Amino acid sequence: MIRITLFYQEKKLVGIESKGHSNYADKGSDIICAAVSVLIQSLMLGLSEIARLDSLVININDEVPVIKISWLKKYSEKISLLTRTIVESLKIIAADNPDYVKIQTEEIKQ
Amino acid sequence: MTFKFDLQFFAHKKGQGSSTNGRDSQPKYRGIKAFAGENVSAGSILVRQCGTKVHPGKHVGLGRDFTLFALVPGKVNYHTSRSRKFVSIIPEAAE
Repeated sequence: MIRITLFYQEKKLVGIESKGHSNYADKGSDIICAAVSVLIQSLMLGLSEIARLDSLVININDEVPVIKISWLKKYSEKISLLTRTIVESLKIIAADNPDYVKIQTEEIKQ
Repeated sequence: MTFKFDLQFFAHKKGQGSSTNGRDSQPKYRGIKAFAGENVSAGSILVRQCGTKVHPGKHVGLGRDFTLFALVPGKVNYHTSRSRKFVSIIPEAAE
């Protein structure tokens, strides 16, 4: 199961972590994994290459596997458009595939 | 922009699971050891079998493990009677 954690600070989304295998199918034919992989990596692409966010922190470990993206310091409406789009998309996938994707939230103190 | 997507980043590596097969018992080398028409000496093993697939006929002994062996030297003969298969020995002298 892929566990997605949404990190909030004062009700603003400031980070997202996606961890674990979906186990829907073997590598190469796992469509659930493909959907989550694309959305998470699109968020990475958008924040790093398009929004060019300098305060972006990305941790990737393909052994686990886990991708953690956080943009704590810089928060703007432009970024929230992108992050909320990705998060809502992930929520739809999780709702349709509860056995394979689970979303949880976590509050980060100042 | 040289961003590359791994579409299967969260997929399980293929073949990592274990299979429950891969076991086999030791070979028992059963079967017919002397065929019809062969000349055999006394004591020669004719058939190794599990249960009496082939029944002992004339001049053939049945071992504890259902092995059939010749009691006298002679020629091996297989025949069927009442849908049962028998092996017997035609003694050399009687030919």
